[in-house]
Amino acid sequence: MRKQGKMAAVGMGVLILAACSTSEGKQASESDIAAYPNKTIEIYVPASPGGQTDTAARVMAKHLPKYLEANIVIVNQATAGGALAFENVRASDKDGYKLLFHHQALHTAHAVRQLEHSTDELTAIGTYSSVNQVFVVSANSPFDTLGDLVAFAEDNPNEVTYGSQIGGTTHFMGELLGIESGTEIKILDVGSESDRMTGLLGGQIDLAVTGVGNVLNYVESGDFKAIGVLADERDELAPELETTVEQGYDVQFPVVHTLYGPGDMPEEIVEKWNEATEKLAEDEAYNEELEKTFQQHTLMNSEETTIFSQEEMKKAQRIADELFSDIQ
Amino acid sequence: MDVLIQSLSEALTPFVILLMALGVLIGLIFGTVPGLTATMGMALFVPFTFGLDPVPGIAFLICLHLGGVSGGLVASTLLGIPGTPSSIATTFDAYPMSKNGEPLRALGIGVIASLIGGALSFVALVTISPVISRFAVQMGPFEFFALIFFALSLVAVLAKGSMLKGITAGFLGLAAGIVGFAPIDGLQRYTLGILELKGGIELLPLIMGLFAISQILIEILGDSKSQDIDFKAKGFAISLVEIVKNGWNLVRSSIIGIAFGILPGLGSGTSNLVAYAQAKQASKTSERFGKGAPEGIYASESANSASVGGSLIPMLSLGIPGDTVTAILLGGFMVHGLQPGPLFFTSNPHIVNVVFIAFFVAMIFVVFFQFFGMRLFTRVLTVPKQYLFPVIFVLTIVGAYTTNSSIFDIWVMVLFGVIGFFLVRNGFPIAPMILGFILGPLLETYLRRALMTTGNPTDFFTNPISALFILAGIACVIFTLRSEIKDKRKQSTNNTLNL
Repeated sequence: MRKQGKMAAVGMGVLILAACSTSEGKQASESDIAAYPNKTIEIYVPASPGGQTDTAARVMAKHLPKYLEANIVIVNQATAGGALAFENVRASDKDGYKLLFHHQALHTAHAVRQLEHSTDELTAIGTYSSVNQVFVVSANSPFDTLGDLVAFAEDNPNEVTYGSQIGGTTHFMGELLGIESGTEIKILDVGSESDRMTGLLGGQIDLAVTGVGNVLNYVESGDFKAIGVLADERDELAPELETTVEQGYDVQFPVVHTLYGPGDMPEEIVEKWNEATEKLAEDEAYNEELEKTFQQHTLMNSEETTIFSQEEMKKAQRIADELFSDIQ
Repeated sequence: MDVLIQSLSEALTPFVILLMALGVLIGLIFGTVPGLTATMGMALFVPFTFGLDPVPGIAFLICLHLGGVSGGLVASTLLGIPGTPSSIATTFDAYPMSKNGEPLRALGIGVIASLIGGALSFVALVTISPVISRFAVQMGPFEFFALIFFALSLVAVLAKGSMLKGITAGFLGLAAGIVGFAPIDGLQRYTLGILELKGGIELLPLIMGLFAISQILIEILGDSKSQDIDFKAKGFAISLVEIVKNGWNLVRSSIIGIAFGILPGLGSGTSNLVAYAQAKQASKTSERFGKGAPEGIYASESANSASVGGSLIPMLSLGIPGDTVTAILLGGFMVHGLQPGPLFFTSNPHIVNVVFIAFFVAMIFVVFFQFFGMRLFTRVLTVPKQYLFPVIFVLTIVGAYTTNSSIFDIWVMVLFGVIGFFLVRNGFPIAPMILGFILGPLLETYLRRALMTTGNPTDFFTNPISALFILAGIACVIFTLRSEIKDKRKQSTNNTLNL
């Protein structure tokens, strides 16, 4: 019995030790910067393998080494709504070997207080692929356009049900539609992308949002109607779909995959990434592979990305404020 | 028909067959080695298929999937450690049977049950998948809540024999499942300010702790006696009569497997436990469960293989993955320029056929490899424990780490190893704990989603499917408790008579 007690005590002790650490990493030295990259670069992806974000990161990691000679590995850390991956990169050394690849879910998660820190504390390096999102309704829905749906929602507040993942980007897209159209749309938690598609097919929800590639399939099969791409310009891969903006509702929310590093990363390293990414954006094989997954490269350098990320953070904050004021 | 011939000619070239054999073999390894799972194998090898054409790439992945789920059998039987979450229930009876000196029989039952479960799900996949998946999408949060409620009531069945300890273990599982962000509103619960706990406790470290680490601790402390092992059994070491006798058990377990495979969020990790509990409930000799009852192995292994076919049904016909492995598989399809969705059947009939063919070939390869491997695998039992356990320990650490690339998960595994050790030592069954851990969070999520939809709790009872499952769940608990009390009374009268 004594043996067992000891073992338990050791186990607990180590567990507690492992639990504490929140500090910032150290600055890179001059020689580190000049030699960059001479080690394997880890890109943290707060999403499970196989999903859209993971695929985007992997396609990038496969083609980028042509222009930035380094070995890049993807580290999937989907746990804790991305908090673990975020913290690992935020607290890492500022030498550019631990980076974070994700999209606006980082902003929405911070706005709903799931992520303690905001992306403003990170170095925004650049943007990669993006995916347009589309509002979809079931094929037998009475609504053919976003206008139809809004008109109905104006007269029948909280009647139109929108399926989303509460706290995630899809939740914010629905909330934004409510704000911009001045209507009350009932937002439900349905879960992940596949659960939302199931919900719409099964008639449990009236409205959902999904990526453009997915939409085309369901529209062609006669299951769904696409009633608005959440962007100001039509999607090149699906030019026949109308946007929300052209229908008079300023609901823009393309998902943009963005690369971040820890705060105050050396400019020279960021510059190396930007140069490599500029060449990558022209790479045919890379673009072809992205297109297969219905994504397109969106080229922004560090400065542009910083502004973009700050704007998105503000947008998420604005929607969240509206959201919390609704609750109170 | 022309399409089928085209698919056959593409899928049955020597190169593709070789790849399929390789896929099954890799899957079996990932399934067999404690700590590595089919999901991990899939995640690791999807990038490998990028360089292949779609047909060989997809055939390879399907084979890896089935191999991964089937491989769990070996470690469950021989070591009492589930190689993957889909074979948790297999450990309950296959390991005792193996300890009683019949490892070959236990493996034989597992292989045959896998084959039958897989074959039945194959038939469902090929014939009626569009119909079933159209039906499955009608399931809303109310129905899901009720179904999970029913599955959770099976804790009582799993606890049968030591009801109080079993229910306690079930609640321990529920408690472990509460840790982390709450569903929907993301409220932090029992995270103790620890970042890693925000995401909750992961299934794999929990299982590896409860089974592998606690097992190692028990063996180190020298509780288990070694038995003479019968290596001489012929063939699969089982008779046709026995299979026929388990016919209904196999069919029921396979149906459970297919159904749980189709429904999102459940899959083979849950179906094997539910099928096992159902087999225990239906058995006239339920007291033999947990001590090497063949029915338990038939139920668990047929259910988990059937879930593989089940999870492919919504993926092929609707583009909706049934579980985590198929979700990764979907990603693999997309890289090959195949957008799975409702059009998949009509626009890519030859790829659909390739999936069917690969699934079929995979079943044959699994039986082939396991049949010839059986005698080799069992030699593991002759390896001295001082060499075997360090290896297993290292592998479980790798497995726990890989889930999230997080050291923290290794400590979670060690902690649950210690907890499992004390539970097993004191006669608490582990099965109810696992069921509580997996189903508790799902139950809460669907309860809240359902209430969010209408805000009216009576809807759980006015909705027919939901009402049916809730009543079945309540009936299951009452029925089990009654028979338990009866058994206890009989026991005590027997005891007084003996006095």
